[in-house]
Amino acid sequence: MDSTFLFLPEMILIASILAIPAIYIATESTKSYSICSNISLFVSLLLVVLFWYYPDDVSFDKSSSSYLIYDHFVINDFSQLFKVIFLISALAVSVVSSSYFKEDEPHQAEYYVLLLSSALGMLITASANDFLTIFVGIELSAFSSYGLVAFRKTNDKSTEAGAKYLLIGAFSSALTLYGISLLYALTGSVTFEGVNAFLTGLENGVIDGDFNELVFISSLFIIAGLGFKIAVVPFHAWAPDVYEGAPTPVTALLAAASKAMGFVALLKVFIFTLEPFADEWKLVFGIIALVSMTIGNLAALSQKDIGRMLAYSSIAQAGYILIAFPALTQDAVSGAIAHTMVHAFMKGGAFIVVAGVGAAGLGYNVSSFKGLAKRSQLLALTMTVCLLSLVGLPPLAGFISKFLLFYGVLQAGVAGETWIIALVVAGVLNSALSLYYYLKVIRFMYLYDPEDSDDVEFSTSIRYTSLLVILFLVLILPLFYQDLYSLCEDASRELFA
Amino acid sequence: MVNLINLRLPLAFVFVLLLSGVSSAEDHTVLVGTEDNPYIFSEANLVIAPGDNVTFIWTPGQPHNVAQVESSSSNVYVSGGDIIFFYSGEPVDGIEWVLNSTYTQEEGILYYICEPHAGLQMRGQIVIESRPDMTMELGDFPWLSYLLVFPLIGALWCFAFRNSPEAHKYIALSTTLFTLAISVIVFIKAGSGNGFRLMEEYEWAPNLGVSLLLGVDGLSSPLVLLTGIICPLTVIFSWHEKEKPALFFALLLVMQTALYGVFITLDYFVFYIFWEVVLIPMFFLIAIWGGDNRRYASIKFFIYTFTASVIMLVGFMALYFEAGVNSFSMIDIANNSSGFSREFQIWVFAALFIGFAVKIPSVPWHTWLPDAHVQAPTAGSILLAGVMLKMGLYGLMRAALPPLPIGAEFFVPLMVALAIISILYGAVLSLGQTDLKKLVAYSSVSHMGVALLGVATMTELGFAGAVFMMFAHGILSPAMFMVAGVLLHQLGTREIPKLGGIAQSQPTTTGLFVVIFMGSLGVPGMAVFVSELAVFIAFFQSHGYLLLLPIFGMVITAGYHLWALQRAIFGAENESVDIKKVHEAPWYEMYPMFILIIIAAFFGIFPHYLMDPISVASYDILDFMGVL
Repeated sequence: MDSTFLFLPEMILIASILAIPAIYIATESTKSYSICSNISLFVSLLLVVLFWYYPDDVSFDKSSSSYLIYDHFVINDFSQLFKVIFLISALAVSVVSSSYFKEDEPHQAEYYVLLLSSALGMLITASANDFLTIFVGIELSAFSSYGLVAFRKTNDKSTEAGAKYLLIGAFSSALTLYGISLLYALTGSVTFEGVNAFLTGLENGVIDGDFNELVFISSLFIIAGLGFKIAVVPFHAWAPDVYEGAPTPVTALLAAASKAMGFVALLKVFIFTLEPFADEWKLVFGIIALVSMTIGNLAALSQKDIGRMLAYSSIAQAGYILIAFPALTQDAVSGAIAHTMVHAFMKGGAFIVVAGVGAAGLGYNVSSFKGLAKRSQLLALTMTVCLLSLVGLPPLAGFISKFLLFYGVLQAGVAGETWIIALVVAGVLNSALSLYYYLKVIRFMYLYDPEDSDDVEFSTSIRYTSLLVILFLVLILPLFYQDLYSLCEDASRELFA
Repeated sequence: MVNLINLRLPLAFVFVLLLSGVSSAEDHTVLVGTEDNPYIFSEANLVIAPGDNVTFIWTPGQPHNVAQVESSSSNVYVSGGDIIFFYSGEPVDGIEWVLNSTYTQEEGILYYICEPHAGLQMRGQIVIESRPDMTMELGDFPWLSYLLVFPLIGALWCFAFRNSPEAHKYIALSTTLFTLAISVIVFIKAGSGNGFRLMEEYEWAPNLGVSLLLGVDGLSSPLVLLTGIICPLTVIFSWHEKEKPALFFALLLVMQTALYGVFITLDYFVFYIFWEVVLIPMFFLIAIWGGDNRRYASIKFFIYTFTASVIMLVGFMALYFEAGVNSFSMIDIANNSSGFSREFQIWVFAALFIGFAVKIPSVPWHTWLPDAHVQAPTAGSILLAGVMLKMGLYGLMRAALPPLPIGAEFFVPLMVALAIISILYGAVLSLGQTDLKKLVAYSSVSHMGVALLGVATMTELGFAGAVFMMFAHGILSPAMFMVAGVLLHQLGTREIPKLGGIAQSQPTTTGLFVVIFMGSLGVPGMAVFVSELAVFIAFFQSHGYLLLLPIFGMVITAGYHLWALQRAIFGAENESVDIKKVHEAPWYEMYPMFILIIIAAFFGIFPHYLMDPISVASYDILDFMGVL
């Protein structure tokens, strides 16, 4: 059967990428680009959900869970779940951007083109079924975000962040590619199944040879390369500068979607492909996780800039998620997927509030949140919900996902390797530590008076988006967490197939 | 505006009445003699749920009656025997008779016959069993869910009326009074029987074994009652709150829901959620309405208790995995705890104990309490000392002891040591305080040390004394904070050296003060005395003359209470006191104190109303642990 139509979401994005320059020629109105971008992202989102449940146009029945297209792309529960996350994040960013940038801000057409192509790259990553496709997807997304970060080229911080991000990003891509080439040299295959089959053969003794060191080295290279993308210690140095310098909606995209994309790649490469040689890389992930969450939280304690603070908190959150890799059970990975997903919501939501405060001209310091509750109850509440959710305070969504994550990992620890329990304990202690700097912001918002007038206009789109974020984090995800969990379980089942 | 409120408030009550009127009992009908055959019952084998109503309707034609018999083969109705059976009266033709629903309360089979036609096999039976498709198991009415839902609705109403000047406090008062009524009902219904009563279960995430499982026993019903009593008094005491009153009352009500949740939940996961939700309103109560150093105190409070509870969460998860029953239900996990190894029990008990000890609070984890108390507004202190501090020991007895008896046994020496240190250290520090509120805070540390000592004895009497102390302290320490609050309102200070000589200007209020102080230091006839006596007897039985240490603590306790009373209220008139400002406390401060004294005295004189349920629950827990 011809299943090319399953690419309709991607094609819509491509069409829209081509259409925006055409609109630019036709009209000067900046609104039209954002409308075009919003609509295409929204339609694409709808189609992804539709194909998730009805991938077969003939029987309209979810008979097969996995659709392989030319061996390079795969449509399954895993890919669709992450595509939904990517598209929701991109849509929120696109909606917020239109009110964040003033009417007369130059080069807005380019901005939306880059935003859409970044989203396209993420979709390709989610669907990729071989090393080259996943590399192309990551790079497409990364190169677009280099441009997005440096979008305000008259702003020094923005250009500096862009340059830094480009250099480090290019370096990390090279590392990843080198790791992939080593694996290709060993196995003679670039598809995930092919590499996995060869390594399984090696492990079972069907194929002769001792290549443990080679696999270890190539895993290290890939971890280093992808570690830059998800910003874990010691590959995290770019994140605070870039999160601070980039326009805030772009930061939201990086923190929410781009990070999730890094995890998609890690899950596909390590849990799915390199699983037979797990003993080689388990400890590496354990150490990186432990160091990331500790250093991320410690560094966040003293930050003055809200973007930098959230960047360090992101590093810590990536550390939490990474503890699922050494556990290597389906429950743990389901928890990691759940936390990745919820993290996208809460970090994205927090940055949307930051964007709102910044766009209202209040600045980007932690202290610019002083008295926010008096200026806008809704934004203050959204920020509070997002931050407490990041801590993992019940009954918010962050608690649920963190619980699922620690639950899965602890189960693996109790069942087998006891050192993994230490990772969980470190995780919960770090959560408590992180409470301090989040509470600082909450305290500023509620307990202090604004430094000048109470009367500040916040844009409507930001208020509506933040209302949706609250709904998701407070009501929908906690109430239906059984369903959230089964979605994540379905997704992780694809990885353990 | 006032007219509008007058309209809306009755509407609120109508709404409340509508919600409360829903009943779950079903009606069934049995025809006595049908058209086709006048000698049979139409529903000869009727299956109903506990508490349902059954109506018998006679078909005209033959005189019949309905009489319960002992078994399916018995043909004789025994009147006036040991067992009272149901009986519709002499045989008549064509009436309607409703079976008294007390006969259908308990599960089982009721056999009945028609006396004149028993020989014709005119007999029937009513099988009473729980409906399998209903989520409620034993409760006939969801009292416990109402406890959780009503304060939340009240909080939303308060917030909805935030722009009106008066409405929110009436809403808060009526909500808390209503929940007080439900609490009293729950306390009475829980009674002093074995096991959990009023159980309800609502599925949440069955794959993970999480459900909202509610139930009360003799351990939790006194605390439910305590929460019910304290909350309306808190509202009355804050009647003239000026700053953001709507938010204030809404937070109080959210807090109330969370506290009830902690006391009535029997599921580790949901228990943890309520446990943490308590922190959020308390944080804001301290942070927004607190004293000068409120920002520091609120954050310290939050971080301290949160850190401890996440460690506790890891312990909960470990229990869940080790029990291996795919259920977070405390009952299921406790029933499957026989395979827990000694090492596992010790580690997990340590994790749980850290979580609970911070909340108790036991030395050396008590340092958040004085800060939080001093900075909190009076209403916050009342809830904090009155109800929140009880969560720690309650959690220890409910969540940690039953599944981990060996772990608990291992930590008994540590618990005894910590309890005695808490008693002595808290008392000595109280002696040195000049701030009246700080004095009460340290005295709380000391009193809760007594309760912890009771738990550490691992005897029925000790447990009962501990729970009684939780209740008694929950009544008297709010009264103590009210004293501090009254002085602060009138004189603007709680510093003992700046007070003194005010007794003559407010004789009635002073009378109340004295009774409260006496009650708190443990005068016979008040509730605290009963609990101290129980704990000390139990401790003497288990540890002998080590008892002298806590007894010495009691001496200091009497000392700092009397000394503080003497310096702050009586004595020579202090120059820094503006005696013109001193007057009798207003009604909204006087009545709560008076009511608390009455309650403390009532349970001091008639302790068995509380002791009976508590003893049964304590016995159950110890019996389950295999200590007895």
